[in-house]
Amino acid sequence: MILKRFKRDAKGFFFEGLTLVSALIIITILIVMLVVIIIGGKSMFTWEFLTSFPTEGMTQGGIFPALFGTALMVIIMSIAAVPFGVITAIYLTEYAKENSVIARSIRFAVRTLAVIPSIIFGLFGLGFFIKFVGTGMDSAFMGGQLKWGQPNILWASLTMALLTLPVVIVSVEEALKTIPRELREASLALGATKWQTIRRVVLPGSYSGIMTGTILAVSRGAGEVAPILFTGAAYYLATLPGSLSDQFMSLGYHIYIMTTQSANVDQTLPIQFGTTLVLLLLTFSLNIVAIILRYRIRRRRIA
Amino acid sequence: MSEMEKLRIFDNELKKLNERVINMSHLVEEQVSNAILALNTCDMKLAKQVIENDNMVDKLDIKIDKLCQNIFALQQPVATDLRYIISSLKINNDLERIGDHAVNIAKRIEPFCNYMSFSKKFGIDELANTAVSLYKDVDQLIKTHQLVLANDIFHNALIIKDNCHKASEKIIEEMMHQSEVIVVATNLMIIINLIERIASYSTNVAEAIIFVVEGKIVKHQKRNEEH
Amino acid sequence: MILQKIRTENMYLYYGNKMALNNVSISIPEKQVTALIGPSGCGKSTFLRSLNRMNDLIDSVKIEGNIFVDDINIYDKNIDVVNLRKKVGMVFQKSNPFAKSIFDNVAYGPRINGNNNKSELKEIVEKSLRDAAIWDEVKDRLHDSAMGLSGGQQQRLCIARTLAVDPEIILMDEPASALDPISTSKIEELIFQLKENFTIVIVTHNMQQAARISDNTAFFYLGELIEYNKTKKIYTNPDKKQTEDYISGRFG
Repeated sequence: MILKRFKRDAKGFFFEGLTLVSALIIITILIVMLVVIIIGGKSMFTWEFLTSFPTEGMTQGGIFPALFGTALMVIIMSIAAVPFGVITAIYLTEYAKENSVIARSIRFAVRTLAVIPSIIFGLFGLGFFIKFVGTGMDSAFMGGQLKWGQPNILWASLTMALLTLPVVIVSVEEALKTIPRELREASLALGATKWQTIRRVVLPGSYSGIMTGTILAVSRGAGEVAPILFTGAAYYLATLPGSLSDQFMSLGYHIYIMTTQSANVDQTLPIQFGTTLVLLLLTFSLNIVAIILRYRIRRRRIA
Repeated sequence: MSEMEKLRIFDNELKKLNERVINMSHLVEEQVSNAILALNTCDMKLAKQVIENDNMVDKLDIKIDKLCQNIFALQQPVATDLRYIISSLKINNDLERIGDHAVNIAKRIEPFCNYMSFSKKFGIDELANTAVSLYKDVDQLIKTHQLVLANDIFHNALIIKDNCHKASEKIIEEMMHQSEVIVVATNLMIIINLIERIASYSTNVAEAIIFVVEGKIVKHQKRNEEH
Repeated sequence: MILQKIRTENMYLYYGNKMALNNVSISIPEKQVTALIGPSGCGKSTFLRSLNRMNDLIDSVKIEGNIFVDDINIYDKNIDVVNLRKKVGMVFQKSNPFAKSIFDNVAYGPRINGNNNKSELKEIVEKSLRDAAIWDEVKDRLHDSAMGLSGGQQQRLCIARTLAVDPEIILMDEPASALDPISTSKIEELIFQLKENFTIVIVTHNMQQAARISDNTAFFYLGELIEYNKTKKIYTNPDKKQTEDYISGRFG
């Protein structure tokens, strides 16, 4: 009897310990990562580093063009992905019948899109935007002169938009669903049309959901490298992109280059750490804003 | 639908009310029978008992009133329940009055007994007995809610009232010839009047029962003799 | 002579294959309060919601028979649902003000109808709030959020919002079921005043409420209209035993 109880207790103790250890391992990895990056990048994290161009064959200087390129890319990406995602989400929650073939197909497509490896998006961007659309535009409008049929910030942003679309759609859909049926009914019962109801009641109520989706998409897009690898990111540019058909530098790609392609990897180590820290801070702060907004939506749903 | 019917807490209250009204009716029936028996046999002891028992009637009257009041306040009765409770209040009131009249009869037995021979002349004992049997019908009606009894009651009450009027007229005629009978005759008139009142209240009870069962208000209707 | 504002003839309603209303024929008189009572799932709310075609929002609903409002068949192909709903307003069980200011809530209906005239809107808002007996409580904070009002105030605000569209009929789906007794009695008083100008159809689970405020009562059971009568008659001497059993709490 006592033995049995001891065995039982021992078993419980063992599994409790196991879960605790696993959790500790994860926390430790995270802390080690953060500490290493902060220690390594701290000294580089200066105003000058953020605002100056790379110099000395990218072994010295700052990361301004990468920062600027990333910012510009996510802005163009958002302009493409957010309206498209919001409209799709509105269709799914407001117009499509819950279990209709079309709604189910769209949801399936969105889920599938979300799990496709990002390098595939890169390849798709290359094949579709550059080779198909870009080359087509060149032969139609440019008289065969090469302008759009090569990597640039527009194609990179659009490729990234495809990647982040599921994030936007799911976030907005979730937010639209938190608008109580009673409010829609109240509006309809006052003689509003469906579109009036969506525009005046549903969308204003989902504002923070749309913001969350946008921020999560931006945060995801800012860190991704693979989709822009073939579609627009450049190794080094002496000038900032001036038009949509220019290439651009990006933070993630910059890190990749510094660690793998640099003439002197050891010498650029501080720049690698500094860039990593900047990217990390950027995505962290975006995610925190998204979490705060999402928390506010959840609280409203409970209330 | 019927299998969905459930017993409500309220039903216990209604059952209690029903039992109390039936008890009240029995008690009053006893009072009326005893008062009339005492009248017809000049049994002073029995008359005294009737007078004493009146406080039992009064107590039950108050209990029924309170129960109805509670049901109204706490259960908000509707439909048949509502009609039943309203009627119970009225019936209770009528029964209490009938009980009072039985007591009033008992109180007048003593002066009346000194002139037995005089009263025999007007068939008061006969008249009094018909009132007892009328009340027995009322008692049955309260217990069974059989409306056929109500019709009997209306019919017999009318006969009793009619006989009361006839007897009164005769007495008045007698008084005009023999002025020395005025005192006893007045007593006799009062007793006849009380019997008539009992018949009248019996009619009220019957009307209240019809209201419970059918939801129809039948009072203040002119009932003709064929009834 | 009393005008019959709403009339249904042999109306059937199905959710998919399930029959929810079975041959309902009823005439609802103008400027009176008609209460719909019955146990949960008896079809009374479904019936109410078919009077302003709110059931259209549910895909599986199919309706047979006729429903007339002012002798116009509201399920006719040529009927504009939006106009119907302006004429037949609705107040819901849970008070559902928009997350807007008190003013904007009431002005919502007029605005979607294209009225953007500031002084006119102001007039409509004040009149509606007065008619809904809430003006004095909110007149100093018209531009505060409606969410800051108490449950009872929110519900009266929702009534004001409905009145602002200038309907002729107001449907109420258990409008006081979530309110405390004082708020409830305010709503009931309000309903009593509103019947001067509006035809009111109200679904309620509160039998005493139906008795207090309505002129006519319709008892629904299992999708059928069992009894429809003057409220006084229903509560003193109903014709049907099922009605009696329900209102005196013997089942349901």
